[in-house]
Amino acid sequence: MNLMQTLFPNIDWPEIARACLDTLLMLGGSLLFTLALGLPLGIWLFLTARGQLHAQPKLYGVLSLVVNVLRSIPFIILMILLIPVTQVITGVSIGIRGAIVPLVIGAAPFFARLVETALREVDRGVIEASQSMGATTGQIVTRVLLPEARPGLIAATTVTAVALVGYTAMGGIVGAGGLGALAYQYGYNGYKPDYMLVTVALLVVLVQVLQMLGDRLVARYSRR
Amino acid sequence: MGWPSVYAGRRRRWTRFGYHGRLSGQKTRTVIRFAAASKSYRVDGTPVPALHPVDLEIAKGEVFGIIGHSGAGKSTLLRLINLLERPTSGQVLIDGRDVTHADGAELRRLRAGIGMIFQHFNLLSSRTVADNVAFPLRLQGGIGEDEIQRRVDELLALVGLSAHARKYPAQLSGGQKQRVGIARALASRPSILLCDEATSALDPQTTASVLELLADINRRLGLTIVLITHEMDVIRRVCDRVAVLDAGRVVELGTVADVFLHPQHETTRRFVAEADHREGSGPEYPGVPGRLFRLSFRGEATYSPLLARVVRDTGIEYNLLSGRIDRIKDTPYGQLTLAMHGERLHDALIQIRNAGVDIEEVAR
Repeated sequence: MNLMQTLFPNIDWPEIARACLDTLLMLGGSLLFTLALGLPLGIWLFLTARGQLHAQPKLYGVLSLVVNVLRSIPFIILMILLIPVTQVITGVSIGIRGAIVPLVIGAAPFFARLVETALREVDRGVIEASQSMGATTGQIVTRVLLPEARPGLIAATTVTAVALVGYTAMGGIVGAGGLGALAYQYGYNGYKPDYMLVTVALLVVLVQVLQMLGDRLVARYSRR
Repeated sequence: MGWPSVYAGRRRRWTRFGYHGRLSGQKTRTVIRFAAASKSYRVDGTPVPALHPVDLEIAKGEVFGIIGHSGAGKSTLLRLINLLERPTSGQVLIDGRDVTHADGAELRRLRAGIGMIFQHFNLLSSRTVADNVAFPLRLQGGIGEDEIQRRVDELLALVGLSAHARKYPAQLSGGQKQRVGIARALASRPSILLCDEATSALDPQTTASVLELLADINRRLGLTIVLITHEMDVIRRVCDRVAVLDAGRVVELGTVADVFLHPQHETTRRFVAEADHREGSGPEYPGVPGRLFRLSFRGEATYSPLLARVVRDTGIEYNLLSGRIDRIKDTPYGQLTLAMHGERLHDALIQIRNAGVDIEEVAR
């Protein structure tokens, strides 16, 4: 314990633990809603694109523009812009619950694009074969596109989760709590380099674990 | 020189099995009819014709081949049958019913009755062999899991893949994948099977075994097969009739024997020459005396010692320049190129023609 005291003189370990939990809660909550919103949006983008099953170039153009606009606003700005929206949806503008709204709105378009790309990787011939067997569009989506694109979709989820870790840390700056907030408040503003080191190290570990988990799942479901 | 007598032993075999076309003597019924069906695609706003109006009838139980180079429109023509492509004008009739505008449940029912296999197999990589074969049955719904299992076992036995039921497509060879494709296409007991360049991605040996399987299915199940290919050899081995497609038009149509032995259109000639491993169309033999003739034997005539008899009767002389004896589906045929000369050449030609052998003079 002496060594820990020497190396990390300023650190309040229970507070670190609480921040870890906050980060995980924000990550889990926002990832869940991002998937729930981004997956249908990605499928919609895929289906309406030119030359696809339900090609509607104009609708695709509008969807694509909305996605691009949301993706081009820096997350930190998006968070501030969304404060009124957050208040309407959750009743609060800060804290974990308050952070989830901008996190989802920031990450869902990003995830939708990745979903669209993953679905495009599915062999057109397989889709045509399913059509020749009399499959409906719904059946093609649920029984062909999603299972065939599963490794790509898992990889997309991994990338999105890692991006969300970064976003949650940014959320800390506007009072969302979590590891990012500690790094900023104590480490940066409070001149406590050990806080900075520990929080960053924990974030690195979190990203590593997420990536490893994702890669394992991709390997498990790859049949090519 | 009685070259055909060498094959006397084989003649008996062919007579026993009967090599007359399956359709001869039977009453034929049209299952697929194109009535001035055409297709054009819009490229930058202007329509580009892929298929000029086609009139074509395909009979129940026949193996119908469509041959053409890439871009000739054969893939489009094939896809008009199950409406993966809609005709721009004209009609497509299946079993006498106009299906040109079928959609919704009617379209799905129609497609369930038409199996299709593909050049690149198009299997679901995320599902096992058994699940791939069961796929069209599960799509249809309303079929019990027990019955699906039974049907899958039966189909895998038919294509010889029972031992591979639990494997994934990536673990199979090309020929095995195509067999899975065939089993899947047959799952919903279709009456028509469409083959889209089904052997083009396979090596010659595997091609032969897949074609044999298709011919066997055609015989056993009485299935109508429509196949497209760019190889005349595929047509020769399994088809009853063939349509030659060139730049979106049917330029030649007939029984495979007729088209193969007497190609009329330039495109057809090139395809036949390729199948014979010949370069170009007209052989030249400088220094060989006499006139050049191509003799085409078919069926029984292939094995009769005709030339020996003609030489004895008319005293002409001949040089055998090139020749081929093979089969068109189940019919033996021979084609010889001869240089003939002699005083009674005219009598010889008449005698050859009277024996039922086609004879045509080759320009030199």
